[in-house]
Amino acid sequence: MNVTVEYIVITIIFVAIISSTTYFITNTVNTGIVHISEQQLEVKANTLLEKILLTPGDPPNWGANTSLSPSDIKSFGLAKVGGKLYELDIDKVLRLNTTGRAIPRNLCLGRDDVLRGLGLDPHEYGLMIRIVPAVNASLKIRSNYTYAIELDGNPLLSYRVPKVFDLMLADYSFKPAPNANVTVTYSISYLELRIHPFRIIKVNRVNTTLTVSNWLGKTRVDYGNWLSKVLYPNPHEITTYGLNGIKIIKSVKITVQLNYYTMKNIYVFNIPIARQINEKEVFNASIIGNRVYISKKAATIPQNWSAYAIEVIPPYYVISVNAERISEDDEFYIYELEFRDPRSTSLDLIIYRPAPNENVWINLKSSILIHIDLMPVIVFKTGEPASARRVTVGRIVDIGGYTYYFELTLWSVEEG
Amino acid sequence: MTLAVIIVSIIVLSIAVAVHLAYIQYQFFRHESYAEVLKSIDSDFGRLLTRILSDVTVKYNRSNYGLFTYYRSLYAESMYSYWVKTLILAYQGRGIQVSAEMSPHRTLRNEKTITIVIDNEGTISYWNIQLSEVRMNGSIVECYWYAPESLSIAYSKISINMTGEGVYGWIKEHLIMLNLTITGIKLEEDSGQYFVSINFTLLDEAMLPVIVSRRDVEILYFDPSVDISSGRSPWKRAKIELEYLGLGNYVAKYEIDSSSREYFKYVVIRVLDPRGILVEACSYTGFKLEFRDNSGVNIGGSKVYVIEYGINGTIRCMYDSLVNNAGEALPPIPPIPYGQLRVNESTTSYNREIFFDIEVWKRAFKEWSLSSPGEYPVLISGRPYGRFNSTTKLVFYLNLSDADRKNISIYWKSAAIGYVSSTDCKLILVNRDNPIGFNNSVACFITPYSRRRYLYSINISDDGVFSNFTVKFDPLTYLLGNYSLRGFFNKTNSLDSSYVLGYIAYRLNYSVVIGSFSVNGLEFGLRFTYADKYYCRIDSYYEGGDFKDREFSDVFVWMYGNTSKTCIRVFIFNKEIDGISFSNVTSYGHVGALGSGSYTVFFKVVVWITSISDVSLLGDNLYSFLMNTPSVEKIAIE
Amino acid sequence: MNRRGQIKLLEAVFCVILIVVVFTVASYIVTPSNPFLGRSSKSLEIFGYYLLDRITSTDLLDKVIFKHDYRTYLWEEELKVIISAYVPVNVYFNLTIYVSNMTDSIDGMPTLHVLNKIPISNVAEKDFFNKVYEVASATVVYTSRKGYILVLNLVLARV
Repeated sequence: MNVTVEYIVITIIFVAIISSTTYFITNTVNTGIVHISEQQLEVKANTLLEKILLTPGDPPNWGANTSLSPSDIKSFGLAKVGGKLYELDIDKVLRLNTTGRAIPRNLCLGRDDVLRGLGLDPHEYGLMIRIVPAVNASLKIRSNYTYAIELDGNPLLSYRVPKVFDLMLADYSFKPAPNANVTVTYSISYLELRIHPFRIIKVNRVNTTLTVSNWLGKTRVDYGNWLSKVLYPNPHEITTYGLNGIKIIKSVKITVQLNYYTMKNIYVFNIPIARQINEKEVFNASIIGNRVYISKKAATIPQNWSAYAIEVIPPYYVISVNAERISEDDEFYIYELEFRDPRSTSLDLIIYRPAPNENVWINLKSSILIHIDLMPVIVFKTGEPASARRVTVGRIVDIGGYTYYFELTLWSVEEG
Repeated sequence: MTLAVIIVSIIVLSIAVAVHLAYIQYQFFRHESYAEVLKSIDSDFGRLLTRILSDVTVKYNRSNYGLFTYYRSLYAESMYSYWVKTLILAYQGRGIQVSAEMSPHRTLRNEKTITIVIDNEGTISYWNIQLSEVRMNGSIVECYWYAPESLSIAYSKISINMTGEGVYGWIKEHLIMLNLTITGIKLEEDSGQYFVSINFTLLDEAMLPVIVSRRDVEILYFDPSVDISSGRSPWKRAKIELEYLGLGNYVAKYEIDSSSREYFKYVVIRVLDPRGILVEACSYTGFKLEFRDNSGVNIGGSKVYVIEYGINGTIRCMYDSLVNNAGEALPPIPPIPYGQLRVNESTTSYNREIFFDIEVWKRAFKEWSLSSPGEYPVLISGRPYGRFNSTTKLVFYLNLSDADRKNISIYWKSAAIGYVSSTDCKLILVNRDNPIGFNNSVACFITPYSRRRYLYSINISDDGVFSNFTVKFDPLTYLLGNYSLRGFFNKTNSLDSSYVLGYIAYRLNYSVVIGSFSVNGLEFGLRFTYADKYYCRIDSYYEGGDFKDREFSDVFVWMYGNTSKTCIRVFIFNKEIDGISFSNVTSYGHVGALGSGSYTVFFKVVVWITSISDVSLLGDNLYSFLMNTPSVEKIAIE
Repeated sequence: MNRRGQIKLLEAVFCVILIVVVFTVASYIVTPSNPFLGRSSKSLEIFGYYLLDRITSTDLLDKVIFKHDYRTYLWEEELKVIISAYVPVNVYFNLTIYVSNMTDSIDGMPTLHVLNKIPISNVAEKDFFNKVYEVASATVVYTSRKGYILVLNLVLARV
């Protein structure tokens, strides 16, 4: 009996040893495994971020080259060739498919293209890229300046442009940005009518002011003086002044260049002139290289209408560039610009019905204004993020000389 | 069982220890951080070169002296080595070794021709201007300025090893550049007002546009109506409007007076970019004048004229203006450092560089004529470099002996030098009491060519007139001196009171000596006049001093005086003396007094020795006996 | 027989104790004290370089430090605020800025002098960084527009 008890005791002790050992080992190793697998996701996200931001991809200039379709892109990288550390190529960024901009399908990068270019299996991983300006500005108009063209006291055309406005600045985490240097470039582009001989000239007027935001991140600017000099005479009474000098305002932009410590950003506020006079305004056109793609769903453009583009080159200049329609397909009109200045930050394409002579000058009113913002907010998603186990990493990057916050969210599609 | 358990324990413990050791290894493995270090060094390297280029270009441009190599060595080379040493200090823990290329040699642009479109109130013409090759010549900063396409460049390469990280052979090169190119100049008239529009492009090293405002652009245009004798510069700063056309193209527009119309195409543009880098461009790099001898006299020898050229296109030959048959105004010289200037002469058969001097005068000259004595080059010491301005004259020889027509090109080099010999140039200022005027050394610009060494003195006797001259030649004593193309005399002690201004002009490299026409058959004491001029006959003379007791025949005596006084005689030696050989001269020149009745005596002393190697002295005597001075026949911009 | 049994029992107990001890010791040794730690030291260092890159990539340092007389003006506070905007909540930093001086050079090499009069740090304790386990540092060289060459040394700790 003693032997039995011995054996039983030994068995119990043996089992206890095995179980405690197993317990120790699993506990020890499990923490490691859980940590590692979690960290792996973060590590992977960081590695992907470095790859996206620091490598140009293959072929290196895949951004501006419109002959390259997404399937030709073997490796996904947004860095600019020959650029500085963390400097991205704007043409590559603009190719990402994001809501609010229509890009032809053969040019835009979709979910599978990006994942493949990063070497990720779409069944395993999902990602979201968000590119937002590092410093935000929002505009609040306090008062307007009205320019009117009248005939015998009756208004024919009336434009309202901002005169006094406030700018509110905040950084990407929404904290106010005090003491930021702000350069405000107010640009008005209009077509001016001239008689003897009859011609229509394109005029771009620019005024640049420098100001600093206060402790709340706010600054106020007043353009009353300048506007009264540019849009003169006001009102333009035709019986008094004749037709010479009538201004048909096409585009008003307030370009705000922000310099907040190390972060530089630019905001373009397009003031809706077209809507005031019932003209068409299109906001979701896209540009790749020198070509502008306008979705047919957004506007119908007659073939014989003339076009030109206005490029804003901050802080001092606005230039007019020739444009013409080169082709169209089922979904898009394609316009080509004579050139796109590498330093331009926003583009407006003005397409208007040409007026043959002074008696039909009123046709100038018919136009379509296409806004192309070269500094958009990009949100690119491959799917919906999983609720558990996702990691977000971010870096401040430079795109076209301005600062953005690039955020990458990575999640594992399968659990565990 | 115990044994088994012990063995198992040992095995388990050793595995545990091994795993632990492996893990510790992992914790210390930091190999990736070197990538971040190299990236930051790369960024700062670019910053360093940008700062260096900015400092050098701004200081060089601002300086009146135009000492490019000085600023380059002060700001570029010392800053660069200071940076490298700091880098080594900062990363010494990683075992950094830095090798920086301080003397790069690289060609950045080949020679090319640039075309500027000149639109003169609707008439289009083209300037095709040759541009030199642009290269890094052993320095990290180069400025190729004063041309229609001007560049400010910084370039270098570094190579880094980090032995502590196991990184070897990381190499990075950086080029920082600002390129300003003038493409067109247009003159338009609108209701009696004249407007000039200049088209230019501004690009950086990546060929991207550089955005500047009109405050960053300075344009100088030429206004001939400015009285430069007041010291004002005829190059005036324009009040411009600047428009940007895209892709780096700009148009600058400004208004000019109708008097400046003829000169609208001569402009200087300076731009400061947002990085602080400056560049300076000129719409032309030089011009060519065609001269013709109008005298119609064959004097049987050399005809060499001393020509003076001023900032505003004033041209003189012995204070007389030359006839301008070119049909347009003589081009001005831009306010550039005179180290850049060069002069060439050419005919159909040859084209070669010739000597010239820049004389810096005490004040802007009123008129370049002898009727205003009191003007002479300045006595400055130690500062023979600066910018061409209203007080400077460019002096060169026009030798029309071998050709009736000759081209002289006055042009400027694009590669910034700004630094020439620091030795003062010795002009002779001789007065009565101090016959050897070397204490009064006069600073003037010295071309690399003027390094002759001879000195001469002229003793003036006491008979009230300069009746006797002794010309001494002593090449050995003043071997290290540099002498200008001309020397100046004055009559009295004091330099400020009215004095006689004369000069010696001597040529430095030609093997052709001046000649003149021979006058035969003159008896002693006979004088003949031609127009207002008086001529004395040739004489032979005994010379004292070193050349005592030697007799010279075939001596040229050149005299000058007024009606009542005896002529002055000067000697030209044409014999072999002490190993110095002289050319065989058979004809001589004469001078005569200009005008009559006044005591103002002008004389020219011709000291004529051809001697050591290619050195010779000659004089400008042609004014006096040639009926006409040469004329300018044609102007071409190059 | 009793004694044999007792000895066997003792043997068994001894073996058990030995095994338990061995496994306990092994478990402590093998536990990666924190696998997270190994990775994050490196990521902290990379973050340090990234932060220094942001500060040096514009003219910020020139504007902050040399705007006024750097010897009397308290630019350190301004710089502290700017850096704090970048660092996450649980990260502590200490930035030391050295200026490289050629005038009192030793053997032709410049010497480094501390430029900041007060610490640029979000931690008051002097030897804080010696006590924390996870510390990383980053060093960069910066050429300022005024011609000074600065060496920035940033020490980061994550808690």
